[in-house]
Amino acid sequence: METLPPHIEMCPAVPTRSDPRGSALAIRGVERVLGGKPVLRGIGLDVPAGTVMALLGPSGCGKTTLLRCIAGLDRPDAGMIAVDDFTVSGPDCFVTAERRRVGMVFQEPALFPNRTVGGNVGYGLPRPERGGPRVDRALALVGLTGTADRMPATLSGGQQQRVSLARALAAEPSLILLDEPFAALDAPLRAGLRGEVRRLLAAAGATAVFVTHDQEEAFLIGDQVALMLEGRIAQVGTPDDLYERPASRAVATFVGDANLLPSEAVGYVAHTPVGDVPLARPAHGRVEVVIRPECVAARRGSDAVVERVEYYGHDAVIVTSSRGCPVRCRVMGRPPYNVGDRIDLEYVGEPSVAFAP
Amino acid sequence: MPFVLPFAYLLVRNAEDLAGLWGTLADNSLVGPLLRSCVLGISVAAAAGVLGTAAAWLVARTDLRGRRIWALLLCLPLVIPSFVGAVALIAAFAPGGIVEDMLGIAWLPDISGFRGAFIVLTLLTFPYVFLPVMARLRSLSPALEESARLLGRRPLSVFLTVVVPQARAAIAAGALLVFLYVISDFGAVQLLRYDTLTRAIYSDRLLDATRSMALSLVLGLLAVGIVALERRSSRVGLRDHARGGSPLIVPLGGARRGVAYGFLTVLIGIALIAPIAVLAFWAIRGLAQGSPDAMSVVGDPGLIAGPLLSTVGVSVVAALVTTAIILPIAFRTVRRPGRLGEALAGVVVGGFALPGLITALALVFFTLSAPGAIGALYQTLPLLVLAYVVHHGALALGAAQSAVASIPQRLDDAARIMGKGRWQRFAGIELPLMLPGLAAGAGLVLLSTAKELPATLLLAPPGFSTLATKVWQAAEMAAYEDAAIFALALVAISGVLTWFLVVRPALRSWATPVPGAAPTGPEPPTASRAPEPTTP
Repeated sequence: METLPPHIEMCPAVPTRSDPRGSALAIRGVERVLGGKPVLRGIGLDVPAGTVMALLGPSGCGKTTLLRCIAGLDRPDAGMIAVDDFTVSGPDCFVTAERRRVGMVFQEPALFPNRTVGGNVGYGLPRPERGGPRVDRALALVGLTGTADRMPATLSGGQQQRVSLARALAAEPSLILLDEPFAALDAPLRAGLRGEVRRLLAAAGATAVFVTHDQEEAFLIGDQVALMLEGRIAQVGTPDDLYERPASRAVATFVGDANLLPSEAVGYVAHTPVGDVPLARPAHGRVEVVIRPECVAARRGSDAVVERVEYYGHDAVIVTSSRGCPVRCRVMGRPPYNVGDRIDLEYVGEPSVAFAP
Repeated sequence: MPFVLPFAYLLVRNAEDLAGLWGTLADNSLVGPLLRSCVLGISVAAAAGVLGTAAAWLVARTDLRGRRIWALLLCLPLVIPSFVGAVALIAAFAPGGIVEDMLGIAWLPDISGFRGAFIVLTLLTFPYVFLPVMARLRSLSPALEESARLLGRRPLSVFLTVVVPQARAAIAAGALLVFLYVISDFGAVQLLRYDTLTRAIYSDRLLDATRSMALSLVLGLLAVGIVALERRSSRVGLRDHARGGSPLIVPLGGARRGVAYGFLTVLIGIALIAPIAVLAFWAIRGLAQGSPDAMSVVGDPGLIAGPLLSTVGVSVVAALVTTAIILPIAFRTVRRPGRLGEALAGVVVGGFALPGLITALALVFFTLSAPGAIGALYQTLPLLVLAYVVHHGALALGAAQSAVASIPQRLDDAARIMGKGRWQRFAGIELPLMLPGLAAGAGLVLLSTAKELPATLLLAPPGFSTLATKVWQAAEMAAYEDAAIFALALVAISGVLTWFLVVRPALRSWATPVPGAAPTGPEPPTASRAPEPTTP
């Protein structure tokens, strides 16, 4: 480290954890109170270098506030944030947004309407490089070659958002923050851009935090997903961790569709209304077992009555009740049952998890 | 903060003679002028509010032809000084005036007192409401009105229950300016002999300075009280979230179209054409009769060109300085709303409510009682400009505030993320986007400065005269032909400036390109939302 960024003089590097290496972004105990209401309550999170962390949560859970704290647009009341092992926000130091050198894409395209597309993309570059090959490269990356001389208002919403992304990528920041960048776009455009952004971030080798309230989007884009509920990180893990091994009832119900069936657990087995279910962690006594609808198989029988069929096209959900307890059961394609048919239910999934009721 | 000077002056002078102050306040003779100021202010504000809103709706939201021309003509009464308007009304309707002469009508209504002041001030101030309301109506999303129509409301009902509430803040801001203008006006009430506070302040200023000072304080407190009241009520105002889409245009059917054209024509006719016609009548009569004064004015172009250049120069400088001083206050109040910003804005608006005479007297007082070098500023151009800034800051504040508010916060955030410091963000992003809005505010300051009289008379350097002071001097010497010629020059130059500074920026936002269209060619600044040249 011969040449240090200017802010290092003010902010001595603080060891962020026992082994901080490889963590491009480390957050410890971050608290934020806005208008007398605690919005962030002891947030801790590590994002390994070169990976994408999807920050998932319902609106109002504090995820945008956390992103603004990481960007330096907001200052936490307590806790610490380190980027590339340098503390950028702590009790005694705060690096302002203009000196943090992170990239950010906002919910709505925040393009400067008085500058051309090229002028926007080059705005954060050193003066000699504006309008140079770096701008063209960034535009080519997002598939907008040849638009550098146009004004932002002449582009469509999707194109404008791609320019925002090119602008964030152009300066090659070590950390890119995306705040629900597709929220204002149509569904088909959104689906296309998701894959593209995933590819672009991988190609750039950038570390990214992607905020979204859409579970599908989080699973698709995030190498890891951090679920935020009411100002706390409820669980961090790969998408299948969150889906198959939720850490709490709240996680289980927010991520995907879930039956929570009252059961009697004995060690690694739970006796549930849909039969015996293996458990990943042993439990005893009265519990609620998380059972995904696709893990319940139905066949003609006598135990339960079909009460409703929700047909989605590629699959369908049969709503029934078994031993007085409502159960949702997913089948591929068009279900061979009608309302009133009698069926039997059977658990067909991997070992599941149980929580105290 | 030069804006506190007039109030500081009033407090200092009144504190010198507290007994006299209490005496005046306890005296019954205070009640009459105070009541008349209030009555005139409220009735003119209400009438101007109705006229301005109706005209703004017709121009902005119906399919009348010649929208730009109407917009310009409806702004122009702003450029006629109130004393010129009053003179024109008197010349037309007084016994032996133009109407009696030309038409031979013996019976004419009495236009002195409240009736005349009300008419003149309403007709000259309704553009203060028209301008911001027109801009607001153009920027409203059509969704709410279309919903109301689909729910079965008739157009008039939609206007009253959906459009007016959304434009309420703009209407209130305009009406507030009108009220403040009226209670601080001196020219019209003096000439039409309606005894308001300003007239009492003026007539007592030499014989009973104590009473004059006490009445000034009452006037200042009245203004600040009204401003505070308006701020409190506008805080619960409606915020529109749905923006975008072009505004709904209401097609007017045959008879209604005729009524609309008739209304606008009559309004412009009596507010703009009539006073100009009276002035032109005099000027032409003076020239035709070969009056030596009028001939010498025409014969020596320097007589007009000198004051004309002085007027334009000092007004431009005042407009630029005012905008530059007001901008930080606008940033403070919009970006970090709080008590400090409110207080600053309140003081600035208060400066507009005090008569120009008080502002001028305050500056004279502080300049001459200040130590050393400051005293040398007396009767210099910098001090005159300072008086204009203090007196007209409120006109620029509203426009500056809407200009600041029209920049989305995320643009500033984006520029910060990209490593730009405060000054770079201001110069590279914010200032270019705010220019049209700021220009509208600066335009209002410029126009008001061009017609300002008392402060100019008191503070101008020896030998420096503007068109307004020339009109006044000529009228004082009963050289009405000269007065008319100077007044016409003032109206003409103000009209040109209004077109370039107020109307054109407001209209430019009407032609904002739709995203996706027009891929080439120079782009108008897209963020140039229609400016609202008023106080909040």
